[in-house]
Amino acid sequence: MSNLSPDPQNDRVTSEVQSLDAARIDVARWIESHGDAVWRFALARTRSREAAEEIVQETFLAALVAHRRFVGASSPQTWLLGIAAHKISEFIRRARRGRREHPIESDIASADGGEDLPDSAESAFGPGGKWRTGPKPWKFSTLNGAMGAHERAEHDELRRALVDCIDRLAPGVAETVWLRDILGMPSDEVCKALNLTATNLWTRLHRARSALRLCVERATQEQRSEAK
Amino acid sequence: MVKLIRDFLTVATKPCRAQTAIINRDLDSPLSRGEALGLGFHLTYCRNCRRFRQQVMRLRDAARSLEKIELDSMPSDVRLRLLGRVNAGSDNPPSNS
Repeated sequence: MSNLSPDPQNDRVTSEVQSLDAARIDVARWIESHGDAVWRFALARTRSREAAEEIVQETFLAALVAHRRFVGASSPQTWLLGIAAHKISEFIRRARRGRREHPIESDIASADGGEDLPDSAESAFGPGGKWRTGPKPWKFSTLNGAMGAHERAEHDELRRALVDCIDRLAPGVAETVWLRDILGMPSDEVCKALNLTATNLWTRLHRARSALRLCVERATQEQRSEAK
Repeated sequence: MVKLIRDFLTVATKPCRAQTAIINRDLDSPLSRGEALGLGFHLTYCRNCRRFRQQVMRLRDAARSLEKIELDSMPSDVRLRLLGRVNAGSDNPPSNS
């Protein structure tokens, strides 16, 4: 067979192979530049190297498959962290299935429903939207510059309580909090990464932060009374 | 001016439950001038909402400080296996969808 005769079928195959190669080269570049960010996100949420490896592989293979749909509307890192967030929440949902756990926040679907707070945070309000049980004063001093040994210990206690409480958020919601409040991704980037409207995002974060505030308050007060 | 007064009144007349939603939204997107004044007005006389605001802001500071927790970068064996998976299977090309 001669290569000289143009064969449209062959051309199509060749161009597909070329675009596949191009996609692999892009993905390999993304692994180089953003692999660590995806790895740390997965490792921090699952606390398991095996799980993190599985999630990282799923994320970049999904990126390879969806390569053509990435049109540069967001930065590659935003896009990849968005895919990773979905993979992480799927993983955690699977891992929790069968285990009896009570997340402090109901599932994502209802997390986006109007201004409703999760039950625990909702019960803080009485009729007419007035506080029934207002926030209790916290012992944690505000962060400002230099911390002494005491402030450092307080700060660590608060951080530990916060991580535990984030773990109790519904999968999906926890990843949203991670991107926005821990990694500090700008709101509009989080919306693009997770395919949410601004209102969806505000509602989700409002519910999550209100639940976290109450969870942290309870955790640190219980600890204090246990210590007595 | 009309918008300023309207935003102020809309926010200032809301109950605490709705104020907490505005306090949280303020962490993500700047409030309009009227909304900020309305929230400020509510906070002058509502100790509970003042405390709520202080605490969610404190939590946000604590959350931001978690980013700096030292986590190892991707181990080289994990990276190699990942690159292998991405490069593997020309016979299994990604779908065009």
